[in-house]
Amino acid sequence: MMSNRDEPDRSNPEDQLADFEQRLNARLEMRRAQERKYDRQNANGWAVGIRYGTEFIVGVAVGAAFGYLADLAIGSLPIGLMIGTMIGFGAGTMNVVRAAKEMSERAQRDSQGADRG
Amino acid sequence: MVDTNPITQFEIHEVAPLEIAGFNLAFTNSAFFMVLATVSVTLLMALATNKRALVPGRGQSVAEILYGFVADMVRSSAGNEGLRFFPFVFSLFIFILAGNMFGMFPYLPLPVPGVDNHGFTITSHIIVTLTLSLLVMSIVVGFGVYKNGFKFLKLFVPAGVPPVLYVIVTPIEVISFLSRPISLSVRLFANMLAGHILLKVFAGFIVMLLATESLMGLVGILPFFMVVGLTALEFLVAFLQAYVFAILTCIYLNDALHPAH
Repeated sequence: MMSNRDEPDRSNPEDQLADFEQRLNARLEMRRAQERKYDRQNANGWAVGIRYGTEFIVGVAVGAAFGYLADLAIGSLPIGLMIGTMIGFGAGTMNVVRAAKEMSERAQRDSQGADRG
Repeated sequence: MVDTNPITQFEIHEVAPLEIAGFNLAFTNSAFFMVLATVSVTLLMALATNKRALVPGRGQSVAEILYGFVADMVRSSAGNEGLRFFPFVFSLFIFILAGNMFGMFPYLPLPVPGVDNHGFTITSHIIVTLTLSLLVMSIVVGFGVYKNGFKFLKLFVPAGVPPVLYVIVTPIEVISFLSRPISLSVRLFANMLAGHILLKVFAGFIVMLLATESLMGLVGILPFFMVVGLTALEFLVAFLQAYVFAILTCIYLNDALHPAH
């Protein structure tokens, strides 16, 4: 049995069809919105966190490592390490910003795809 | 007593010893699982596509969905030009996915008698993931230089920055580029390592509680449910990390195709 709250004009079959389609679309749109909200929240919060964390830490670590290697080569121990760590900090931040930008672009494209499909 | 050490699962065992010119080139359980992943995927794909039906059956549908999934991924992040790397990205994705999934077997014995048998996850060793990510980066650098020549270095000189700032921005870009293979490999390795240790720690609790042979054994139900939940989570992680690895590969390949962002 279909829901028979707002009763359509049953005498006109075309009107009936259009009305049904309207209700169906509204329902589908509602469900889609709900589903989208659902997978935004739970699917990859953990993965996103890990991603940002590694991007940042690895940037700092690589910068520091290169500074240290330069120090070993030239024999200027603390200076290269300090400069390297600072540059690495910048690189880590850059990595995170880039990752965030790319993820939001992908999310946007996904939601557009869902609207079209 | 049963061994409840959560680290034993990562041990490498020699299956068939082999030594050439002083180098130990033994066939290990890690190598076995890599071969298993490669062979099973190749066989499945060959089997699924050998009919080439116009209306696909079940196997062929799976193969086609996989193909479409990876092709979409490549196209959306590296453009149509990126499709020339499709075979590479597809193999990489499927290999990591198969490796992760075979690692989800808690007990998968080697078919060799007299060898200590246990399951093994190839991607839980950083040497494996680092090799894969260095392969990606060498393709990015090699193809980038081959296609763009010196223009590939534009990657380190972002457009729209005043020349004075190049002193700071270029080293940052270089470090950022060099950190990519490391973050790529560490992410996959750390996820698999941490997840599998967690699984085995909770599984160990069950055994330890049962070993008390008292009413405490009943408490073992709690870690059991935890293990069931964690197993489901690990399946998600196994897929998600293979996906992340492949999509980042596409993004880096895009840099090789279009170095000036």
